Amino acid sequence: MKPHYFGSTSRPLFGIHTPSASGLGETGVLICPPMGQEALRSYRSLRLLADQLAAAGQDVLRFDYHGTGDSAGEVRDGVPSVWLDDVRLASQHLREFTSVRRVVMVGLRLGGTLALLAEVPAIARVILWDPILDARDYIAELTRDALDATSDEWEVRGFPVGPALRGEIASMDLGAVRRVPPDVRVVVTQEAAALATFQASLEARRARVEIDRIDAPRAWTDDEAFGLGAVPAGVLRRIVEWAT
Amino acid sequence: MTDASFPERAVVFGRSQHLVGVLSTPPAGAGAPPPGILFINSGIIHRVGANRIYVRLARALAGRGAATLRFDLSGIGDSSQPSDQLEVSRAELEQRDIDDALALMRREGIGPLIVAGLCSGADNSLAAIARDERVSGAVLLDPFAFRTLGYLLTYYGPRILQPAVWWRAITGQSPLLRTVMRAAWSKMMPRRAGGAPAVPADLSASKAPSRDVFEARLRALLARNARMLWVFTGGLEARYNYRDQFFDAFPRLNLRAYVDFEYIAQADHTFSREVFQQQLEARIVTWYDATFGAVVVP
Repeated sequence: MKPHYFGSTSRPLFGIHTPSASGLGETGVLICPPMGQEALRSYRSLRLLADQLAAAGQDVLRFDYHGTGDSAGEVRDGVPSVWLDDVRLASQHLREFTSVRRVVMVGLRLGGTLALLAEVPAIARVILWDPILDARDYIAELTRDALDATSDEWEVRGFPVGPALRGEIASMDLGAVRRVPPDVRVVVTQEAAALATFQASLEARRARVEIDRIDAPRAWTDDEAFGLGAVPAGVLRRIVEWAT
Repeated sequence: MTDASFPERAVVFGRSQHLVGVLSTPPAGAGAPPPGILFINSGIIHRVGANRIYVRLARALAGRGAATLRFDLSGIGDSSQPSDQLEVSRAELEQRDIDDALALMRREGIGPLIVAGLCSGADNSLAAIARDERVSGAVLLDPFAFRTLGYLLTYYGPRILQPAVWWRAITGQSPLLRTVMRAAWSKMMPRRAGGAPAVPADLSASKAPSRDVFEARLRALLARNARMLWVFTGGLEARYNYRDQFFDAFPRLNLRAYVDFEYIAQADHTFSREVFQQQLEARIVTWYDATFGAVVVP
């Protein structure tokens, strides 16, 4: 495991490279985390996912977006327009850092949405784990979890969600993606109303879409008062199969 | 990558090279290096801390020239469970990890060292400073707390007229009352010879210590002038429910004169509200400046 900072010296991102156990390094997997409390709760699941992918022969890069985790920046600096640049930078860094020839992206929740919206060129496959497909649904979730949704500055489960962040989330539209990846796999542990529309939209643009529904706990939120989310072994297994 | 404007770098260390952390070494001013702070995981939350509060605190302290290390104990976050240390208990392994982290900071030339943590991180910090006399200070956020008579009065006072409370007490369904009865019974039983135990060599942070052990530990820390900031929140209500409980728990020690203390009644246990994160940050920075001398890095 190789933790390191990358990117510009003024705005470095924290990343962890988990090298392929086989040392072949054919495929690199970029893992895009969710945001806010969901990133903390799912940290262990994504670490174990990286370990399993590496054991299966992949080079894996996890990273923290600007203003999150160990990356530079205040929490309030983090907004999707900045994070999309981070996804692009991280995918480029993965190729340069490891010399892999094929890149697969995995995104959990908002990380899945960012993985698609970043429109990174030459991605072999995108794997979405319970992605945010409809921004309105996500805003409704944030509204429900906000301490005081009537104020301008929301606080959602320990993290500020200000008007800039809410505005950018609300304007996220997967239907506007121009560079559609050729192969999209979606694993869901909770049914999403927008899933059928999303699938039809991608297939209309010649993407191959495969969806798997797995009954598993939600890694990003299920927990006791201040622990971590459960690790859904079946979901990790499916993602490793798809990424290999 | 190191840069004067961003003094943090990732580190892999430990006797089995199994620990992962982020070391921050801001530019030092003139004179002796200011104390560095080691942040220890709270529960199983990785090194950024609950609600990313360790990152916030580390960066605020970097503004005072303080080096910091936030890292993951074995098996937490990005650190591995060392396969060559299977013979030791979890509590001992965590103290070994903390030793490794302190050793790394010393190798980096970081001056006096302070340990800090929330919840189990506070318990581990207290165990570390009690065990290692080279550690000169501790910031303890919601550590283990002993209930007092004042706790019971604060808890039962508003409930005394509620019939349901009496019913639970009469039928033995009150867990708190059961605890109190057990404690009263143990006090009535004859003590073993030898009086209060000395601070044991193996200070297990994972188990609740006895009040005698805890008091002996505090007494030893006061005797060597360890600098401590104790912070309790209203979020620890199940164990701590009024400002002076910490002092009342140890009436034989003159704690008020020797330790710094804060009670943030409105804050929850993980400081999830930003207003309380700000309050905590300001309190710790003020304590750091007052205790070790203000050094503001330009």
